[in-house]
Amino acid sequence: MPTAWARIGRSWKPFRICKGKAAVTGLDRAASLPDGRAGRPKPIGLSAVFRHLARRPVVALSWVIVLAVMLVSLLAPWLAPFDPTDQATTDRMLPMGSDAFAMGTDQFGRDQLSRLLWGGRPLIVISLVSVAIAIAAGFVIGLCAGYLRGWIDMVLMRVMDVILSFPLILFAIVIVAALGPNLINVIIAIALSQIPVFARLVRALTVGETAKEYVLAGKAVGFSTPRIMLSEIAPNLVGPVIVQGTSVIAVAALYSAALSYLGLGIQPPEPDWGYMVKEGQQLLFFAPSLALVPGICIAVFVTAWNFIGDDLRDLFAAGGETMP
Amino acid sequence: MIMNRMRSPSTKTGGRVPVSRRQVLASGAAGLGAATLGLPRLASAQDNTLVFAVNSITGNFEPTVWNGFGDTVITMDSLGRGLTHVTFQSTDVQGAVAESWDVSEDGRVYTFSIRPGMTFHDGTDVTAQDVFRTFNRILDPEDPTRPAGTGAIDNLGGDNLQEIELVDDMTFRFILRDPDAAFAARLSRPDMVIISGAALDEYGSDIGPNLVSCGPYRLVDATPGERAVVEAFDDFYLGRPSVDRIVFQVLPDPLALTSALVGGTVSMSNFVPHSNLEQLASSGRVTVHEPQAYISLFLTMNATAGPLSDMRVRQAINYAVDRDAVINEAFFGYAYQPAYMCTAAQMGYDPAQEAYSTRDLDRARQLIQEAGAEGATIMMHSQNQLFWPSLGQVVQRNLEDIGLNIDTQYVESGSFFGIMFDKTQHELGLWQRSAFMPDPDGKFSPLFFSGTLSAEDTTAHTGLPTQPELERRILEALQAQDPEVRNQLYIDLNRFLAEEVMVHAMLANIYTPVASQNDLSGVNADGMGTYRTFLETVSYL
Repeated sequence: MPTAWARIGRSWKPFRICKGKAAVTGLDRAASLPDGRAGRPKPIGLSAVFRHLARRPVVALSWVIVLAVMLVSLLAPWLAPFDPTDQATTDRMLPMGSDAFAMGTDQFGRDQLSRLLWGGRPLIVISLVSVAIAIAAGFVIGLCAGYLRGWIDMVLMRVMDVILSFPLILFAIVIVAALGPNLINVIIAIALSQIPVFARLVRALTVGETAKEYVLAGKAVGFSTPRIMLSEIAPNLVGPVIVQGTSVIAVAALYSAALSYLGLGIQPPEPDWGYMVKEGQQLLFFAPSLALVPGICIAVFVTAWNFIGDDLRDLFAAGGETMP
Repeated sequence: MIMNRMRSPSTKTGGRVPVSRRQVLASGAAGLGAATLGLPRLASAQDNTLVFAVNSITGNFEPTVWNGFGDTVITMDSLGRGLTHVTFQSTDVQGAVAESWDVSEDGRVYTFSIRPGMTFHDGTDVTAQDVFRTFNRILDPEDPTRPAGTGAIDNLGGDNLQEIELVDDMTFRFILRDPDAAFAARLSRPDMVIISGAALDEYGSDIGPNLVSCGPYRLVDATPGERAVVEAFDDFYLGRPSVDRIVFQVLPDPLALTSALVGGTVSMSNFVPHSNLEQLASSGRVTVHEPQAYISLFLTMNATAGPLSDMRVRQAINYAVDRDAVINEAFFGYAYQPAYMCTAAQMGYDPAQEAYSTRDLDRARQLIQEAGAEGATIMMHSQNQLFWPSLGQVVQRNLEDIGLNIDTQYVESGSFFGIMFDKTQHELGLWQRSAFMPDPDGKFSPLFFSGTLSAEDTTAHTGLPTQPELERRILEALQAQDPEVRNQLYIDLNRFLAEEVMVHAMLANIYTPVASQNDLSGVNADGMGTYRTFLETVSYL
């Protein structure tokens, strides 16, 4: 462990540098001690995770739902009995439970089960990728703004304020309308709309970290600014950002479904839960399942992510005490 | 015509047993109550108020600028009247602001006599001076009351209108360069309503929110995005309308609209989704009308775009489309087999020409093979609302059946028309033509004449060797005065377009579905089927 001299009060004292060990996560709050005595966070075993989930069945169920949806979507090409875009005029509007069509067919004779199995893919891809992009960009912006301060801070945060001043769904609609409706543009739209969420969070955390001794020590020994930002401060911000990310995934999934519902997402005939709700809506009076089932899928998936996000936030706030 | 052919659910739904329709309707009405709570009150005979559901209201009733169906057509038909009027129950052109008119022997001069004793909503008399000011703002770019962005001149015949002339207080004259048999009908369009000169003095080019005309109802209030309210005009030239007050209520959601009709909070509408017509008809409370079809749906093809520049590819696309699938899957059976551009309600219709819109996959594949276009990728654009996405999916499937790769984009209306009128972007597009008047020329001159946006930038066919002959035929049909001769000329014109030009693959003839409460009579469904909404004839039983 390297040692440096730092001026504390009126005198210079030896100071042990803890490189990247001050992770202020709820799972190991002690690690934030400036002398780094606690070392690395104590690893959490699988058994501890299971015990935690056993005490929170709703959260456990949420994880099961999210993982199941992801697995089913991943395996859709093998699980789906038909091509989800295949139209068959002679099999139009068959009810649930029909021979060969367990979930019935839509107005074009497409197998509803196959479309449901495939239809979760865009939602998952869009929500995960857009949040990942938003985290990456928001992290860099927030870190720069919080550490460098001054005019850089002002400019970056005012840009974030401008983005935040738009209703988020409207902002996403404007972007998709301008760039054209497709998967990539929807990801860009949702990611852009969510960057300020992470930028502001990271900036606030960075401002707090910058005043701590390990950062002062880093400066004292002459670490470069990028090194302090990336090697010293950044690791301490990862925990809260990930927790925030899980909550935003639910929001992103909802936006994805909303944009598809508005016709600005995945283009038909490709299956997508949001667009399936829109298409089924006009047939609600005599084929309610066409809209209700994909609608329920969206609701359950988003709710599950919300429970997971809430649980992680509780864990973080409690400093990990609830995790044995 | 009232719809009396009830289709059994089994034929329409492929054997599906409806899931407790009454329960769904009841729960739908309750669940969607929030969507309709904004309605000012129940539509009822007691206070003689009619609630008409529309898709939008902007509050700008400038007749010569398109502000959407809610403002520019539906409300406009209550607020205003033009020199002439066509009911659509008959294709005859009647006098409205004009009591009568004469046409010169050469068919170039139309002289209108203004109806005496007619007044505007502001109480001023309707004179030829008002008519002059109304048309001058359309024609003269220097007119201070001219609205920005107006293109109404195209609907008057464009350059063919040589001059307007104020003869005296009660006489007005149009002088044309060439005869135009559709000219009197053009003056019945909703963008040709006569505006009070006194109101133009007061509001200038900002007349839109304050429109003063001489229609059966006068404007009382308009809240953009919500509603427009009109009240019966006592001095309407045909007598005071029976219904005292009409609320044009914005209700764009098709499900909420259906529930509101079943629940009685909306009196009538022509924005009902085709998919819900059967449910509405079986509700016992609502009459679903089956008007005559004036609207043609087609696939526009850019004759200069890649493989589409080959006539054989365009013909193959025409032969590939399965019109039965279009009618049943996109319109739930409420549409008709097209016989090229003219519908059965129009001059120029020949049922034998349905052959041009009959699917022939073998021939289509052969043509594609001959053109060497197998596997060609073509971009198709469509609007992303109403029935358009359903239509697009059927057409895409049909075209992929003959070995083409179709990349479809569904975009909102503004973007769609931006693409459609840009020949560098547009290849295939789903479009419709209503024209708001029954005369067939509304489907020819604006789409095929050199210099029009559609001909130059959508189908971009004006460079084809057939263009001179095409224009000659359009003019010949337009200038013929004998209806029987005109009818045959339009039939021949349709044949020429299908066999020699083929830049439009016809998909279906449709009407906009019209539904009204059972306690209403006098509904002019034929007009409403093409969005023309004449409510002065409606009354409560």
